Amino acid sequence: MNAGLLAEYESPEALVEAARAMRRAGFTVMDAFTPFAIGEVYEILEIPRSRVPIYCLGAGVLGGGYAYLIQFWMNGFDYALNVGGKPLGSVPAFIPPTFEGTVLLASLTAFFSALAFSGLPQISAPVFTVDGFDRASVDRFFLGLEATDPRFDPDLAIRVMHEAGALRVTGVPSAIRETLPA
Amino acid sequence: MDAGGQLARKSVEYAKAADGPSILLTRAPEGVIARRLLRPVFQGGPGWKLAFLITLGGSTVCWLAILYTIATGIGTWGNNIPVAWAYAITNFVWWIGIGHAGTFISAILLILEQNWRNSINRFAEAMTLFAIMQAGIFPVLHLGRPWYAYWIFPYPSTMRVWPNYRSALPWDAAAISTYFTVSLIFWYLGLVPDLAVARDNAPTVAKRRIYGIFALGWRGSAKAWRHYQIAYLILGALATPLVLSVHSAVSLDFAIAQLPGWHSTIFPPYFVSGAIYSGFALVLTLMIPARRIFQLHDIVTTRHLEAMGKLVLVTGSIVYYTYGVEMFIAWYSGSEFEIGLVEQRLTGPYAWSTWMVYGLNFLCPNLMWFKRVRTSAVWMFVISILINIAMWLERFWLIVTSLNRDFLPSSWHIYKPTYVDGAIILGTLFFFMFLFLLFLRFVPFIPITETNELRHMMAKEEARLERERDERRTAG
Amino acid sequence: MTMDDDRHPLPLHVEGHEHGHGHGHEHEHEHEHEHEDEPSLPRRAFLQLVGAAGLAACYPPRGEIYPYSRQPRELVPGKPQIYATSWIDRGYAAGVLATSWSGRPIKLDGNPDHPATPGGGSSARLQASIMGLYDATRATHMLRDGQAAGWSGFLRWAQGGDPAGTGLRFLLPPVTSPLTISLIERIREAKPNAAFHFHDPAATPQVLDAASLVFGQPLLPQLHLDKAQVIASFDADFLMEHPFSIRWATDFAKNRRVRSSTDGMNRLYVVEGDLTVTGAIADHRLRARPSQVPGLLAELLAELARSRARLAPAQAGPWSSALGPLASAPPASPWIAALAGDLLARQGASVVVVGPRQPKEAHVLGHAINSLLGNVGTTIGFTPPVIYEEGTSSHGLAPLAAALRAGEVTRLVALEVDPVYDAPVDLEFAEALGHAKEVACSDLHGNGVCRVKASWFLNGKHFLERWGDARAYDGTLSLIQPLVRPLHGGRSIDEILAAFAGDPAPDDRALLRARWAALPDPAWESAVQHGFLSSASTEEGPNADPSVVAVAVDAIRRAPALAPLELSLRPDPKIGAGEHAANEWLVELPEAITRLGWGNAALMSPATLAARKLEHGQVVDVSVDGRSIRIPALPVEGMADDLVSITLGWGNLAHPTELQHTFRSEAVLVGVDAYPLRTTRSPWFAGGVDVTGATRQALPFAAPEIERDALAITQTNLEMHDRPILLGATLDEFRNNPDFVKPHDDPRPDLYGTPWAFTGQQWGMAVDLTTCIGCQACVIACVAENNIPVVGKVNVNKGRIMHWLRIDRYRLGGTDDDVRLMPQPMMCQHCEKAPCEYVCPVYATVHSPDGLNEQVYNRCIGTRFCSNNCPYKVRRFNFLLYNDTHMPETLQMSKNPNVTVRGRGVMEKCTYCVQRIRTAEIEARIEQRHLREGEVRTACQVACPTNAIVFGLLSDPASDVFRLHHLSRTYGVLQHELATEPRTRYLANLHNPNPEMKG
Repeated sequence: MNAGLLAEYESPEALVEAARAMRRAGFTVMDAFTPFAIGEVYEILEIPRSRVPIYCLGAGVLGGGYAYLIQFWMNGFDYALNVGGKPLGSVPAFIPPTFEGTVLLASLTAFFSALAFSGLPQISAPVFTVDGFDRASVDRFFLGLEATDPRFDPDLAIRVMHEAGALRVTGVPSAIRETLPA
Repeated sequence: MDAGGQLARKSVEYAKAADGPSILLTRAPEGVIARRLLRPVFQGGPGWKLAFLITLGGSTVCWLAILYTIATGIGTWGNNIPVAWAYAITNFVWWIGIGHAGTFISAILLILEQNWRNSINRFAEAMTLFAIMQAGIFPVLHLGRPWYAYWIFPYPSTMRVWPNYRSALPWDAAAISTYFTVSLIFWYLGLVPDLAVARDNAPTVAKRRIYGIFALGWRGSAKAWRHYQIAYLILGALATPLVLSVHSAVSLDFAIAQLPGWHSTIFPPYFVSGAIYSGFALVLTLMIPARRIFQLHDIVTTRHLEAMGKLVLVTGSIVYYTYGVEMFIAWYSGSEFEIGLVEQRLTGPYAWSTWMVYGLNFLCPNLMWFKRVRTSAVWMFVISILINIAMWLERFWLIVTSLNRDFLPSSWHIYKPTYVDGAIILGTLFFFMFLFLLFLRFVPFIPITETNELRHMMAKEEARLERERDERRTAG
Repeated sequence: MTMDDDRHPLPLHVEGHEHGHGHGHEHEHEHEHEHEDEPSLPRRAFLQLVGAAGLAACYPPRGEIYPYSRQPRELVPGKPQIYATSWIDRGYAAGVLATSWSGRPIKLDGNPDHPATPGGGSSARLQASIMGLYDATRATHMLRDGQAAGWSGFLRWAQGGDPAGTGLRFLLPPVTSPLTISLIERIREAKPNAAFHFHDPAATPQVLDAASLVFGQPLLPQLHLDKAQVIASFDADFLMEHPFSIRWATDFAKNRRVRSSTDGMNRLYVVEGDLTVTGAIADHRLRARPSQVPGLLAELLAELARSRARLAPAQAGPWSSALGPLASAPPASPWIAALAGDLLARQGASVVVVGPRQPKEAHVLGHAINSLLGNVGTTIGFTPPVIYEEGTSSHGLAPLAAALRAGEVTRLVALEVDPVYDAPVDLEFAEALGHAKEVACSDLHGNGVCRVKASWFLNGKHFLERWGDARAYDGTLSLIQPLVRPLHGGRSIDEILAAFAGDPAPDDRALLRARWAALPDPAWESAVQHGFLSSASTEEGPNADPSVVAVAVDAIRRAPALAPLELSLRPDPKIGAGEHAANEWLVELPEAITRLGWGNAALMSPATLAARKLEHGQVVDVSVDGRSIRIPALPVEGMADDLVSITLGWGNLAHPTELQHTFRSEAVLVGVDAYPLRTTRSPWFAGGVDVTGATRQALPFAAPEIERDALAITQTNLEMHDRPILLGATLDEFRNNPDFVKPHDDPRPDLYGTPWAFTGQQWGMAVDLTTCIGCQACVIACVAENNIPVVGKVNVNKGRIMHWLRIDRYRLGGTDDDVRLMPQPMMCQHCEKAPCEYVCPVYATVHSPDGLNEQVYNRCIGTRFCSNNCPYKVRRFNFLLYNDTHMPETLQMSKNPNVTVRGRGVMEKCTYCVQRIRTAEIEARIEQRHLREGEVRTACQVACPTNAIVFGLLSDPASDVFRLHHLSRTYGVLQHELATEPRTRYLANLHNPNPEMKG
């Protein structure tokens, strides 16, 4: 049984048009698969802003704070020795590692949160079984409609997709949703 | 492939014909571009195999020299008291510096929205990674007891002893490990969509599987793109201050000492600019031949050469400005030690290095004032090599001239490198090339996605202009 | 003790007692027979073999020896014993206190009660002589025609031969030992035809000849420099190169210890051609070739004669007749005139010292001047010579060589002398030796004699392995007691002579006791405990005979001038005439003036070098009437022009030294043998020398990778470049401005202030740059105390010498004519704000609460950042495994058990002898008391003959070091520039020029 539809378009413009048409037709649960990012699609498909930045901010503060405090504890308290007659809490000396700590934790968070939010890694997904999808990374632009869409109507959807200039529309064997982040 | 070949040849003509360099000359369909950029990945050639064997041999020499050093002690080098640091630290600083251009191109130019970076950034990032790998060898190897190198990291040891963060060396450890990690994930994140391309165009099932795994199942879904873009931008934004901090930390290895010639507040900017300067030189050194071998004149255009030429000019100027400042401060401070240092640099046993450094680092950047030079691949290639030599010498000069004659004239002593010193620096060059060849062979070294995006934008732009012209014609 | 037992060097049993020892025989015999029929082994192989026999274990010497401070009954493991014994240098004894750890002597110091080493001062040679005991290249067994042989066989041989001793000749080093003398006399009685010869390559018979001329009897001059206000040295390096120089240095310093601006200070004039330790610190120095020195003495005498009126009447009278004719001499040079004026102003409190190498006439004038100035009996006295038969025909090799050629010698017994190496070249001794039917020789190393021709070779005993006696230069009768049973067996001269005298089983302890049988046991024991029997022989105030003066002056005036270039040969300040050439500590030690280790060079003034278009370190051929040697040239500022100076004692085939840590290590000679230039007629000076550049490849001792600069020089720069490092002033300047060092001592303001307040016990050191003479005894003392490894020529050349304490030399004022090359001991300054500490990433160098800069070897990972950041460059790094884990066991025995032996890849440096500090602290805690002032003394402090180094508690205002730290002329090096707050502070150098002296 078809758990969703996948329409193939020639150009980003065509894709964007199709997305608009589908919205007008009242479909909501959709996603696009494109070789490179296409800004307009975000608004049309109402894809929310990413939460990656706020996570990074938190991580950065955490990393920096930890780096500074651990140095202060190590050199100022746990192993408090006289080196070169310098004060135990040699604050300026602790700055560089503090900075590095900030950057390190923030960057790792950026990387892994971005993957996590995008539901990656997921090596194999049903969409890959759609023939011709291998061009999704090069020069074809796909629009996917979920079967879970409240107003899911294959016939209508297929018609709209074709009107918007789809080269072809294929059914996806199992729910696309599973292949998509919740 | 054949089509690709023709196109490549045509693209050379493009480059020649082009009036005013553009950042992308080909308008071939995305598929063609993708296949073309994947060609070196999916089939090497006899040339590659030969180069691979040569660099492999060279790296073995490096490893033998390193083994010998570890087994016998760094007495196999020329180091002595007072010149306790020499080649190893020189190589370390040089390699780290090389790395900086990569991050600079991919990060700083990214947030400055310099989209000419797109065709060369992966190249530069890979260079960064491999350069840091080379650099990483030396801080460990130069230790009297390298097997205890890990003592510099704050791990909870049974003796409850910790590293001393008043010293600049733990800063280094932190900076460099961070720098490598961030560069790696930055590079990999940028690579993911292209790995997907490679996966989708893989000739065999095995390759498809392998690239599939590394592509993490990337499908280019709009939601993924949204997270991806912001994450990539943030990494760029983080890497920008990071790249500045890393060489600053390295420069502090010297600046926190009170040795005349090291003890100077100008070091961080001086080192950073020097790093980017030499880094761009190496990008050129690697890019120009690659561009020729893979016929990429339409993707890596004279525009890129010029842009890098100008950056070399800027950073180079900062470097030799610093030389001036050093001398002025020495005189202005009135300290007999600072003045003595300048004197002995100009006239002492290592005067030859001083004059070579001053000469080359003044000449090379200033040649970039001439468009003829900036736009000529040959000139740029030669100059880039000279800059690399000059910058290696500069670090050597900076370290050795300051150490070999410091406060007490009684302890002044000359430094002479041994052949082990030489074998190790040459060996790391080979090892670097070795890693780089692997990169060229197994990873799309020109970002396919970004090139396609670029091509699409430009095509669209051109189409728009075309339409407007028609409208005006019909109107008029 | 059976002979068999004696023959075997190494008992297999741990017990050192007689019975336990005897009990070990069976095993020994087995080993014995293995050896008997074995062909002679190479030294190393044999060493390993005996090493296998348990060499590492140590045995107290046979019989009872008497500890200096405590009785051995209270021998506590882990606590050292200290014994008094004596060290012999060219026949003369010096008192020694030897520190022994569980039967292992590891440290020597001067015996404070002994006249030769007052206050316990010592010299580099004395300090290093401990290394001679553990020297891995020592001969380890007895040879009969190259085959391992036994003592009993030698006894049979010795007692055989012609009963009247016809054709039997002995060749001995200079002898002062009553025991040896008694044995010689016994042999002479038993074998009337046997003849004795004595050989010392550095002998200077002219000294006694001159005395006999002037005073009518052979006498040795005894200086009392503590009584002298003006000292004029004519080619005499009396602070360094003399059997009694330790004593003289101590006395000399007494009048240079300026504490307040009211203190006085003696004045030192030096006339010399080479730049010596004494000359380098002189207040006034005149460059003159050795051949010009007698003329200058005559000039001085004439000048004194002219101002006869100013002489004390007591002197003026008797001399007037002699001085009359002299007064007519042409006026003296201003320098000599000023000197004369100063001497006259200090009659009875001045002294003129004439170098032993100078001809008889020069010494005659020296005696004359001293008598004339009334110094005899005050600043200079005379004692009868103590060397047996010195000045008689039995001294010197010529008669022996003649006898050998004439075939009169059937048996030659050459004991601990090596004429094959050091005989004057014109005797061709090696060839002459061939004429002897049989030759028996003994030495610590297989020497030239046994190499050329030896039917018997007996390995000798180190002085720490034997009993014996000897006289010091001033006649003090000193006793030698062993601290360890002979490591390789071996026989002392006394035992060998006793064998010829007919003893069935010679044993040096029994012999010695028998010699002094007259002494009752208690007296004997206390004598051995204190290390000497009698005090110095009484001095005589002989009357000089003025008549000889005219003759001497006449001879000097008529003496033909030597043609330039002039050659000056002298015993090496480190290895003497060659007797210490095997001692790696001394060989590696940079020479005091040239800073040259591992070899010698042809020294010339820069002008002389330039005139011949030669370069620093270029290899040259130095030739005198047809004989020539090949040696690198080295310019030395302050040397007389047209003079080439080469030190003797190097390049001895008997001691090929391995170049360590090269990629292929091969045995090569160290230095160049200068004896080929030495003849009987002119042993010290020669004219008409030719110096020409040679091709470098042919350098005899060039290591593969050092071709151009074969010279291992540790300090390449003697200029201070106007940096405030070694501060100095004249006595007058100091009196006018006592605070002249302040501008360089008060630190610049500090942002942080001082976060660490030092409370409680604090340590510090003060070094007096006025009394330091730069003899480097402290350097070797530090090497011995702190297990500092020898790194070998290649590494020294690369700049990796490991000495924790070095003596820097800087030119201080002075002109080319009058160079003052002042020494500055430089060791870890233990800065309170140490630049080395904060740059260490792993806390491997940190500060202790009592103010020590501590180096934690176990924590050090070897970044060497600390060395880079040390402004004094006193940190030393183990670039290679210098303390080889496979080092010969004897070397392992030489290590101080209280000091870590550092491995590869760690930094090290002066610790203020922290092991001594902690030991004292523990003792104080056990006895529940505070540390006493002077309880902790560093190795360098103890060794210093002039007490220039003072260490102690800064926290105790009564301590010396506190007082010295707060003197007005005390400063910290670079304190003003870097504010490092060093705990080692220096008393600025003062010198005392003569206001009359121009320039």
